Amino acid sequence: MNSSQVPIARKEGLVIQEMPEEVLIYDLEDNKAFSLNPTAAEIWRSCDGNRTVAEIAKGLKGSRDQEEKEKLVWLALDQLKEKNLIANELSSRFAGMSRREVIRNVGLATAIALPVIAMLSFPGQTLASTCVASLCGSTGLDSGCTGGRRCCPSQANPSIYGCFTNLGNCGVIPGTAACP
Amino acid sequence: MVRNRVAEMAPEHVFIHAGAVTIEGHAIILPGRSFAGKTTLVKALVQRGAVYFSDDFAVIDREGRVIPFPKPLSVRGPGGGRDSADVEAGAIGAAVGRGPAPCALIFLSQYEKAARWGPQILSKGEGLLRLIEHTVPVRTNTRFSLKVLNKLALRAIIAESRRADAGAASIKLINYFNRSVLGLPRD
Repeated sequence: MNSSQVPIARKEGLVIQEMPEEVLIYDLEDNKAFSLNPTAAEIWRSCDGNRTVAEIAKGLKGSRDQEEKEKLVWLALDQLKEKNLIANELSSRFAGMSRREVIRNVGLATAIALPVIAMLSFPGQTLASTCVASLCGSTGLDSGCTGGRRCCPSQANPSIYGCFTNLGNCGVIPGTAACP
Repeated sequence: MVRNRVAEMAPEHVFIHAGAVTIEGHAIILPGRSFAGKTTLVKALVQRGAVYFSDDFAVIDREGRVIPFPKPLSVRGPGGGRDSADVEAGAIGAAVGRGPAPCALIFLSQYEKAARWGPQILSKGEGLLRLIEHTVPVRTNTRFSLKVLNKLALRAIIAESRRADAGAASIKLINYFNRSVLGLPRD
């Protein structure tokens, strides 16, 4: 692993809500929300463009083993990159190890909680803008839909109604519906 | 539908799709989608002495307090279909909230036939993420919504459990509230 790289946390297009230990992030571009647990939050906050991966790892409390702590940082960076929360390119990863193998190793070797990033996406964005003015969207009635579809609140935003084809799961299918 | 538009556009408040009641001046918020059984659970709670705030939207002010939005309860027929009748809270003997209340418990529950009750506490971050799903203006007024949600959850317990019928769930929920919020001993 190349731990001399300097990760930079993405800040543009995000609304960041700090909490006592965790961080809540809303991505305005992709309409996704993320919750970073304390370890992931600490690592993300440390990605200030001044510190290398090795230096970020050194700052983590809970273990003396620098190599294991660097794995932990990479584990967080791997998820942050995947979720588009890191602004710059990072080339190195786990030297051929899968994420699962790293989790197993790191979990046993450090006393630090693993970094976890939970995500919620809002696939109903298109639905919201196109369906809200439809008959279903304005009345909430099944008669506002064609082709036997039902008028249901979308999972992503229950205030937005759309026409759904899955009759058995009214309200639990994400915004995949087409408008009448 | 008009209420939904108001919820989306209200500049000073955040609307969460949720039932809301108070016990001993502490608010309980019950987030849920439409047809998730919010009204049924709220109705069961107020019939056991909780004060009615809303069966549809928990309205949160900029200080993170829950304010009453006491529309008539939309009570559905025995089949649980889409047809519903509006019932005034007073008609089922409910007291109606008059002022803002701090939130003490945010309880996420999903009805499942024969579900076993087993509340699990969520971290603030995890809980807020789940709450965002039910927050109406989160995409139109994101910064304000997150700020208010953070204040709302600051001193609240956020928990979840599957639940069976509303009658039994309301008793378990009140017991859980009494223990976890008021610190009362188990019944």
